[in-house]
Amino acid sequence: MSSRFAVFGLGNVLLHDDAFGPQVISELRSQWLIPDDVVVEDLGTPGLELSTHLAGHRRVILVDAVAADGSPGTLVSYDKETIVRHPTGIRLGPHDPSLGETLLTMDLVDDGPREVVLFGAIPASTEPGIGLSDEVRSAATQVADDIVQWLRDQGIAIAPRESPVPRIAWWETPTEFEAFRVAGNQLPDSH
Amino acid sequence: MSRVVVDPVTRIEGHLRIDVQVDGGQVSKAWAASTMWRGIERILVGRDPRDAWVFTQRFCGVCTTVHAMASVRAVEDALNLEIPLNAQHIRNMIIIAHALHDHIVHFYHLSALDWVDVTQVPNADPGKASAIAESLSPWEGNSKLEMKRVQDRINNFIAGGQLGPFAQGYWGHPAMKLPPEVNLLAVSHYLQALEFQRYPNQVVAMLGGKTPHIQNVAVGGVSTAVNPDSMGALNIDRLFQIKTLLDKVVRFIQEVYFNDVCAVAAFYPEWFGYGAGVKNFLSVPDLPTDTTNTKFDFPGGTIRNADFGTYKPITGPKDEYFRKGVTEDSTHAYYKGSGGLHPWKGETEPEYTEWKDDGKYSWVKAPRFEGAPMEVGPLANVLCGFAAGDPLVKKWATRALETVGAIAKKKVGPEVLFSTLGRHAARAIRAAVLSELALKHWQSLVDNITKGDLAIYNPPTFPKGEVEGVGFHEAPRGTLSHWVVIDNGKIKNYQAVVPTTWNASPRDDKGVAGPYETALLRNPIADQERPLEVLRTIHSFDPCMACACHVFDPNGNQTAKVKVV
Repeated sequence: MSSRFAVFGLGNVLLHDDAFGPQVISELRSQWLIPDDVVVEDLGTPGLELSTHLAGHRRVILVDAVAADGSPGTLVSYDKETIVRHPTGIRLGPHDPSLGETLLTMDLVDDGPREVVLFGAIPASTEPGIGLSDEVRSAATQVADDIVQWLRDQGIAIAPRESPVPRIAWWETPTEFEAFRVAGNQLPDSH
Repeated sequence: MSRVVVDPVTRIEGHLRIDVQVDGGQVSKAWAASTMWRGIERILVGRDPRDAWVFTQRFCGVCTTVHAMASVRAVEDALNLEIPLNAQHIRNMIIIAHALHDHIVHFYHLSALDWVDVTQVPNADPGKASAIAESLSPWEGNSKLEMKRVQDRINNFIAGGQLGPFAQGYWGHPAMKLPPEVNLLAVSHYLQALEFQRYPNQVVAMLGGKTPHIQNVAVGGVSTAVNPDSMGALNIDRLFQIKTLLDKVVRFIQEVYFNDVCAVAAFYPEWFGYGAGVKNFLSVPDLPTDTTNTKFDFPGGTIRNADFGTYKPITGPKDEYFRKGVTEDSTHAYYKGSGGLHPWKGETEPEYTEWKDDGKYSWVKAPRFEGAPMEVGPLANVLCGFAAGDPLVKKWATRALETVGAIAKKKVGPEVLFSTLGRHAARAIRAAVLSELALKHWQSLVDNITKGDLAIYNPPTFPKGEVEGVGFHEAPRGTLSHWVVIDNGKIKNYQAVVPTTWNASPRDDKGVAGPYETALLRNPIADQERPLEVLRTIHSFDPCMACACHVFDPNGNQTAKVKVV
C-alpha cells in the first residue's frame, strides 16, 4: 500500500486474448528484477475491488485488452484523463463498474492515483478458451519492454535478470503441473 | 402496448438483456436473456481435479472466491474427504469476509442510486440529516459537520458541471421519492462505504494470500500454515490484525448499512408490493462447523409458494433432496436438447437461433428444482433461516421489520419481504447475521489453534474408475453448485450452476417463467425512456452475468442502452 508505483494486469485468463494483462505480468516477472517499491500483480477481473489496489499508489500502470478499432495485437495507450472522460451508461448487471467509474469514485474521496496509464492491446478473440493469439502474444513481450522504459523514465532502477526464469503462464500449462504443487496447492501466481 | 428493451451494446461488457412489454403503464410480460455464450466449464475437461478451483475462480472477478470454494468442495465430496477444523474455519472466515464486502458494495455502489437522488443533496438540511441518522445509531460518521462536508463536496461536483461516477443515474425521475435529508445521509454513507468495503477485502487477502483470486485453498483443506508462535504462519499477531479489521466492518454493517436499508425502505413502502417473483426459494446450508459437513451455522432448504409452512431443510451436501433435485432445461436456451438434465449429465452443445419470444432467446439454461423455478440469494437464505427458527436470523429480521416500522410509522410483518425491497432488506439482515458469525468463527479458530490442533490439510487420493461430487456454497448472490465427474483422476464433466442462472432463468419446457421474468410483472413504468423501475427489480437480485470479460472500451459506449419499440 505504501509503494509509489504499481503495475496491474487485468483480464480473464479463460477468454483467450483477454489474458493479455496477466500475460504481461508474467513476462515482467520472468525477465526483469522488480524493485521492492514497485508492486507488480495480476488482478484478474476485479470489479470495484480494483479501488482497494489502486488506493495509496501515486502512479499506476494498468495493462488490459482494449476494444478499439484496429488489427489484433496493435498496442494502444490512454492516460487517466481519457479514461474518465467518457460518461458511463446505465448498468444492467451491476457488476461492471467501468475503470473510468472506479477512478472517478476514488477521486470523490481523494484517494485515487494521480497518474494512470493504460497499456492495451487489441485482441483477436475474447471467446472462452485458453491461450493468446500470436499477435497478442508478441504484443505482450513488446509492451513489457515499454513498461520497463516508462518506469525507468520515472527514475526507477530496473535491471534485466541475468538468467531469465521460465515465463509461467499457469493457465496455459495443460495439466499435471506437479512441479508447482508444493506445500498444499501453492501455484506460481502466488508470489 | 409497447415494448422496452434494455440491452447491452458493447461487444463484451454486458451480458444481460431484459425485454418488457408495457400495458397501461405497467409490465405485462417480461423476458430475461443472456447475450453471451459461456460454456467456460469445458476448459476444465481433462484437467487435474486438484487444480480445478484455480481455473473456476477465474470465471469471474467479482465472485472469485466463491468458485474456488464450490470447486474444492465438489472434489472433496466425490472423494468423501474430511476437512480439518482449522481449514473449515479459515474458509468460513474468507466466505464471510467476502460476503460482507460484496453486500456493502452491492447496496451502496451498485444499487443505492436506484433509490437515492444525488441531485437532491444540495437541498438537504445537514442538521436534520444528522438528526435522522443519530436517531438510528451511534455511528460517529453521522455528525452535522460530516453531513455538511459531504454536501459541500457534492455541491462542488455539481457546480463543476460534472457528476463524475454519478453521471449514469436517472436523476429527477418521478419514481425518486426520498426527502433531501435521507438522500444526503445515504450519499454520506456511500462515500464512507468506499473505505469500509476494503476492510473485509483485506481480511480475504490476509487469509487467502491475495484478492481477487485467493491462493490458499486446496482440495483437502487450506495451505495456510497455522501456528500461534511462528512468524511465517497464521500466528496470533496476524489473527489479531484480522480481528481489528473485522471489528471495523462489523460496526459498519450493524450501525450504518443495516439502518440505511431500513430507512430507504421505509420511504418506498409501495415497493414492498412489487417484485415478488416466483415465490419459491432455494438456499443451501453453509459455514460448516465440523470436519464432515454435517453441522452448519447458516441453515438452508426450500420454501414453496411463499409459505413458511412448506420449509424443507437441506441437511448437507450428501442430502439426496438437493443432489437429485436439480435439473437444467434448454427448451428456451440456445443449446441442443430441451428437457431437464441433471448437472452430472449436463450437455453444453450450442444451437443459436434468432431471438424468438416463444422459442429460444437466451444463453442461460433454465435450472429447476424438482421441476419448479426457484429464487436464490439473500432473500431465499434469510427466509429459510427464518423458517428454520435460526436465532440470529430471527433477531436481525425482527429488528429490520421494527426499524422500518418505526420510521414508516406503521407495523410491517415478514410478508413484506416477498418483494423488490425485501431483497435489499434480506441482504442487510444476512450481512448482520454474518457479521456476528465472523467474530464467532474467528474465536473458534483461535480456540482450536491454542488447544494445539494445527492440522490444515488431508491429502486427496483418487480412486480408479468414475466418481461424482457436488460442492455447494451459499454465495453472496445465492446458491452456487459445482458438479464434477472424475474418471481415473481426471475431470470428465464439470457443470457450474451459478446463482444468476437460477434467477435469470428463461422459461422452461412447460412455459413457466423464471424469477426475474416473474418479478417484473405488474411493476409500474412511469417513463418508458428511463425504465428505472425495471432496474430496481433486477438490481435487487444482484445479478452477475459477467463471468467476466474486462476489455476496456475507449469509446466509452454505454454499458446498456434502452430502446422503446
